[in-house]
Amino acid sequence: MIDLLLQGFAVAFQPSNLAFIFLGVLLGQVIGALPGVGPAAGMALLLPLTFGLEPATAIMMLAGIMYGGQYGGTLTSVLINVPGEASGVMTAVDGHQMARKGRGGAALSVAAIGSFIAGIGAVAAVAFITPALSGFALRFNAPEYFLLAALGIIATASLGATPIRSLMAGVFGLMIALVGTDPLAGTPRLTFGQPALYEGIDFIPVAIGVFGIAEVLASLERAHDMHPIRTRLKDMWLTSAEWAQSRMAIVRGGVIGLFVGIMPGAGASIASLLAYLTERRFSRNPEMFGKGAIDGVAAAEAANNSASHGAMIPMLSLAIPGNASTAVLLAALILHGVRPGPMLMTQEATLVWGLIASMFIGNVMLLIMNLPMAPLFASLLRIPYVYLAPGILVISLVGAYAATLDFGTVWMCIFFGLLGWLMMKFDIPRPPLVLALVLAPLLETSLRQSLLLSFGSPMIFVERPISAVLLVVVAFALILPVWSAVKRRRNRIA
Amino acid sequence: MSQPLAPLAASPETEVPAAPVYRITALDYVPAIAMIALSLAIFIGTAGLKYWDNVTPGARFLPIWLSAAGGLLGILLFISLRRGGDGGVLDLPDRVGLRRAVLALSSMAIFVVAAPVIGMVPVAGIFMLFMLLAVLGQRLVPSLITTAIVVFGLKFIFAYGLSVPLPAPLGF
Amino acid sequence: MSLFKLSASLALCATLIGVPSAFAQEEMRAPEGPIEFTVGSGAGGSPDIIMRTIAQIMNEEGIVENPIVIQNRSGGGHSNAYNHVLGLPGNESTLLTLASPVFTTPIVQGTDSVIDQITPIAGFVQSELVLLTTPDSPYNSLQDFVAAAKEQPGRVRIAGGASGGNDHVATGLVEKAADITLTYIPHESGSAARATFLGGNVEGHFATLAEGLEAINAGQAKALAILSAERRTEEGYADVPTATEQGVDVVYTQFWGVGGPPDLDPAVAAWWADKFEQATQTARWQESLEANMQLGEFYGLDEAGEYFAREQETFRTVLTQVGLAAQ
Repeated sequence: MIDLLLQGFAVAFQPSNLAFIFLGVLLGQVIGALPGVGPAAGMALLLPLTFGLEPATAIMMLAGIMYGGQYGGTLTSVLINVPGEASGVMTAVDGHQMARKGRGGAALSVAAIGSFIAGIGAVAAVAFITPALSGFALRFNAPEYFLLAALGIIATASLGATPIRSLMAGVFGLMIALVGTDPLAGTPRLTFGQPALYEGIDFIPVAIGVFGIAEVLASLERAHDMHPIRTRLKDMWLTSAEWAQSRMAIVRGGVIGLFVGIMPGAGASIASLLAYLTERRFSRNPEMFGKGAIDGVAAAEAANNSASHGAMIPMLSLAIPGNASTAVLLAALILHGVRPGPMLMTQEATLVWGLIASMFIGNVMLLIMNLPMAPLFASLLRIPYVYLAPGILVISLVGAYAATLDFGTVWMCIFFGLLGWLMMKFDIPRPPLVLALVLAPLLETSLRQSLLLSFGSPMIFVERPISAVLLVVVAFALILPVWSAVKRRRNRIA
Repeated sequence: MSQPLAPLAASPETEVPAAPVYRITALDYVPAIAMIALSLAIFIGTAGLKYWDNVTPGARFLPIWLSAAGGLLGILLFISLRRGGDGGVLDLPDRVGLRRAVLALSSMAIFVVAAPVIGMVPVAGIFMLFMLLAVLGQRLVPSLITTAIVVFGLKFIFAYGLSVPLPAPLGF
Repeated sequence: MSLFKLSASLALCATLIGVPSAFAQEEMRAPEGPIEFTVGSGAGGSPDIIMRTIAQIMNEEGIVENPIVIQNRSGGGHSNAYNHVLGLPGNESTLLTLASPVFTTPIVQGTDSVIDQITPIAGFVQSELVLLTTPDSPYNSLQDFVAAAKEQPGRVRIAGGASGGNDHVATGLVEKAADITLTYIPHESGSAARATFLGGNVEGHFATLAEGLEAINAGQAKALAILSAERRTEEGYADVPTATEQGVDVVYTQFWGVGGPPDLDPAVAAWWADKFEQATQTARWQESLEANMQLGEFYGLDEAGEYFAREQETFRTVLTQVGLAAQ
């Protein structure tokens, strides 16, 4: 296997391939930073440009856009609180708070380092244990996804000032997700006869509106405190205390991300949510979470990058794409005359191993690119906010248009901007809404698929080993908070 | 202070509620009432769909449970507000702030209406200038520079770089 | 030699000896400027891959000089895409990609048929389906499969791509022809359904021939039947009988085509039909068909219109049967 990897490096280190890997990660970085245009859309837009290239070169470049996008998405999440993708929501929660306190540079640095370490770890897993892990991926199906989604929804309760308000936001997110064609029955639901609503309400306009536009509206209304965030260049780097705090968060986040990323139905957003919540359990100062916890940023970023690499495992070994980006990568393989499938890794060894080697190289490039740039990007916030605000609005609106080329999406985005602003005014936390919206289809579809698979018997959740374990975890997640609340109250009375 | 459900992560010692100085007004009840109303709307809006479909939950299964959960949460919030608050704090804008937020929202609406007619890039320029000069009262030169940067950024990154077909009926 | 291959080679001969194509007698006029191929699926979906391949051939082989851009207007079961094109009557620089959702979405939603409004140009590629079962399953033929479903109605499960999708239609046709009840389990996408199937959670799954062959060769599946008029000749499929041979009279192929906006100038439509025919006769297109195990039967203009109308009727019948068509 080492031989194959070395061959892969020989391919990837050819000067032209190096140049295209660099181009890919650079483009990924830029595209990831644009709200609305995520890595998958960017890859699709640039796909025709790769037709003249060797298949291996083209795939290396496109994959570079995919993981480069994870690094780039951090920028907008941290700096302007607009997650470019669902997987950036958790980064925005604490990263933007850090930026407001003048620690934006540190947030970006830890995100880059965390993404790098987790990325390299995940590529190593792709290289050495793909066959074993692909079997694992297939043992996950509807029952397991249902419990995973339920776990995520329960966990959103802890993402705000008070559980009632967080749960309200979560339930509201789930209600928004009800709109559209019912995923199983195929009948319209809450669409009010509007064809625009048949496909449901997409994550992108909601995230841009609820986070980006709402944030700008709230900042604009405060005339008096619109001065720039004061930062000195020496505050831009990570301190050794912050690093000590983040190290283990990166490791834990990376491992969680890898396992969740491998499951074709789960994806990077669930990975970063679970990593963030796990980290809060482990953290020495959990009260900082939501107020600018650096270990929260580290865990979420490590998890979403390793998840996006982990998604390569079912793609390469089974031709099953775990997310939109790997779906485009599969299409690119087909368009370049390579047929993906279980035989890919043996029949196209040069291409596959070249790709794996290129991901090692690309991650190194991204680290080198991002570390020195982090302070530079963070100092963008020294521009007076009044000048940034209208620009953020314009880019949000154009980004929403670019996502679907439909003005309906832009209207949606403004509507959710208003809604997000009202939520801020009435002290309803916003992250649970967006996360619930992302998790809702998985929750509903997989519950119904599970019962179809078992002909209506709920025993399917107990009979499958992984599902049974998850069921116990879900039960604990439900009981623990109630139990500790009861205990606290009893202490107070006593 | 009564706090029926404490935050999960933070212990009561570290969480300092602003309850003693915070006065509950009618506006505090808006989220609770909105949630109850929305739950009712979901309940009514999904009437006619199947709750159970043969062996598996139908299209109305999740809506019913969500209406129940939403209604319950709304009532819980309502009750805790009656009993002195749940730790939530309103952050209402002053008149200047409200005016800016409303102006920004309506400018965005005009942006969307005008973009297909005049073109996205020119409208973006007009929007920038309007916001900077009229709404935020900034000086002319920096506003022009900011607008130019954003307009060229849009043109080069979205239109040329990613070849997104931004509407441009006038040719630019 | 199959009829399709005969006609394809005849067409090839025709171009080789310089005989003008079938549309030569029509008046033709080229559109000006860049062309948009509107695709209703996201990048990576089958219609997207097909349109990108043919656009690449048209531009690189010099068949069409106008630069062609593939535009994904995904969402709404292709309705974002078709509403965009329907809203541009007479427009000469936009073509709509026709895939099954363009037919089925209006039926399911009870809106006006799209195919009756657009200007038909060409139907040029088809893909047959194969019914797979797990490698360790007791079923070795479609008869076994049908017998099991007869014995225990609803206990035989099919993992499918989407409610109302191609494999749902195929499932409905098999149910009707064999008089059985299957449990169709819809997924978010074809690949999600494949994951459920490969994980051994269900008895059956419809795959395109190329996807199916990969799984069969890797020992992850065995084929029960091909839903085509006749057997394939490739290794791996030569001994897989058709459904009709096994007494279940179902012939169903997925197909893709293109149409123009309503009221498109007939001369421009004829020009496009000619260009699509030329592009499908290139060696590169034939290679692509072979690699993806697709069929390349060509229908142009009026012939395409009739073909699309026939398919629409099939969709309407089956979707009504499975209870999905709007009343």
